[in-house]
Amino acid sequence: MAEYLQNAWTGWTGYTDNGKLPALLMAVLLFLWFGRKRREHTPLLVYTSLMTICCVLPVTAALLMMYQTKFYHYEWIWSLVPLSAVTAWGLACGWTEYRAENGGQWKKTAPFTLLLLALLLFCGSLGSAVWDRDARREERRAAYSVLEQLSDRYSGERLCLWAPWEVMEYAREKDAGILLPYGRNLRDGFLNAYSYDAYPEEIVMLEQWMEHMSMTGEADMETAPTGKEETGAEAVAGEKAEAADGKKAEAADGETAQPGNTEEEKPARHVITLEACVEKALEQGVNCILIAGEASEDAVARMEKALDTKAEALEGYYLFVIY
Amino acid sequence: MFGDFLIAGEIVIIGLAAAAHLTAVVLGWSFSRCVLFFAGLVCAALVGGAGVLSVGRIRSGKPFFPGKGDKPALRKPGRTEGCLYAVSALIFLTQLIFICMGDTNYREGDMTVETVGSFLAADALYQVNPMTGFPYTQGIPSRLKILCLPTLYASLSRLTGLSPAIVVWKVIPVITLVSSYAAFTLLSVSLFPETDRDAYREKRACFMTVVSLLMWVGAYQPGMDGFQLLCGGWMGVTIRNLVLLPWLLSLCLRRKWIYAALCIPAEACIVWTLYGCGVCLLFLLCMGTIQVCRGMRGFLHNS
Repeated sequence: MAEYLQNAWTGWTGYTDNGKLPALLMAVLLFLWFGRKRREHTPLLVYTSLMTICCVLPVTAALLMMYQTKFYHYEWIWSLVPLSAVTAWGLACGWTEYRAENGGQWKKTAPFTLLLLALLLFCGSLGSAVWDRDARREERRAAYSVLEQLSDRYSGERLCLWAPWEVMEYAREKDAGILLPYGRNLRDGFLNAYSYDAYPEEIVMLEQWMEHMSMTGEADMETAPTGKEETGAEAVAGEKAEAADGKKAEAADGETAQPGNTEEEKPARHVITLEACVEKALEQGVNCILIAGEASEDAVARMEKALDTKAEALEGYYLFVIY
Repeated sequence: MFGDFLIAGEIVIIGLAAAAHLTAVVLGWSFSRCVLFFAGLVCAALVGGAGVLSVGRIRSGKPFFPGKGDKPALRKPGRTEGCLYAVSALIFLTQLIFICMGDTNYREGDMTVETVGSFLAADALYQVNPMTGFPYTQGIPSRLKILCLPTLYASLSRLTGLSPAIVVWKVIPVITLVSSYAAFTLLSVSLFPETDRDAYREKRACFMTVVSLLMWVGAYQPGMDGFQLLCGGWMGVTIRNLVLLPWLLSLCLRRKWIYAALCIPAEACIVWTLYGCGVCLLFLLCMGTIQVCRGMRGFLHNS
């Protein structure tokens, strides 16, 4: 209950941060209750007023949030309030009645109309949305272009793709025939409510490594020195990398899983190698890997060696396909 | 009224989709078989509906197609009313263009396109994780399995040959937009009845203009009506908030309780609610209780 109360308290602030339509609704309700000679549709007025109060007060809002289940955030309890309908009803009554009182004279009605219009527009966010539509469109266009070429080149093949996030997140919406080791729900936690499945740490490691590769172009990723015990996944990854190379990875010399000269001075650091990630990806059934075009020559060469295939260029990426 | 028929028809289609979907899930049918069953149900409903209407027409002695004299006389709208409807229509048109032309879908927390694509690619319902394409390891909540919208959209995609993205992000939001305007038109008729002494037609026109403006103004964050209509028209919550609820409200004002009750199962089929106890139920209960209390008060006052 405390969590619900906390969410209800912060939810109201968040709900009214970007736009002020709930405030406009309250003003309209005041007008409909007290600003008219004749009161109509009283049940609707009573219901809307009660629900608005319930949505604003934290305790009742928390109860409504319990009713709608944890699946939804605070803003969805406002579904119970006919916000658009009652706002439009009040404004329509206000405008037509004012116009009738003034005998339809435009000299008096026009300023009032403009005032209402301005009020309405300023209660929105004047065109600014909560997410960058143009950036999203551009991202999607670029990802679709890559995915289309992949589908064209390997039509009929069952691809299991491992790629940078900007491609992965559009892969399944573009072509549901493409399989992925991890999907959008890895970052959008809300999507996890749709299933009981969870990603093991090895899969999370794959995503982190790929993003590291996209940003730095380097084949090995040093994990942040947290001072904690190394995770099972990282330990396995490190061991497998060593096994794959047949010797202790040189890249790890002085850095990999070796504490500093004295353990007390430096916290433990760990390196996740390209070879370890590739092996893990192959275990997941991946047969198509894209890495960013900014990858170093060393990384490309090591990827070719690990997969025993040649890199191909594809729209600013290196493509590795194995059968 | 046309709006009533449109929305009731949509609820019937949702009901048929839910029936086909649940049958397929329980009996473990493939998606292809589910589509055939759904198409059969829709055809049967169309034939049945046409039959019932025909019998009704024959019994009432009315002609199948109204003649010139039977058509209701269209009243020429007043200047202000005409201007308001023109503005409203213009705004509606811009919203239609926005949905059809713009890449406007808001997909955070939503995976409908991937789910629809999974149904089509795997030829099975809720067997593979839409995010990865691999079979579920732990499964999905049973409440989720009841939701039929992905099956309905996937069936439309299969029957029309359109891609899941086109069906989910273009076709359905346009249908939702039209249905929403139909629902708000019905609401305007209920809010401003002809018995009103004042200029009810002008009020209705003004109401529709403000509603259409509110859809643009409110398109700033998830959960707002405008945002849901313009950027998430395929979602169950959008259909509930912008089609079912305004219609439900108009039915409550017209005291058509049986039709109003239809909205409750419809919501349960399309929105993840607390095992059916969704917004429509609470809304209907509250409105019904307030109206009954008010009626009793009036009755006691008169007696």
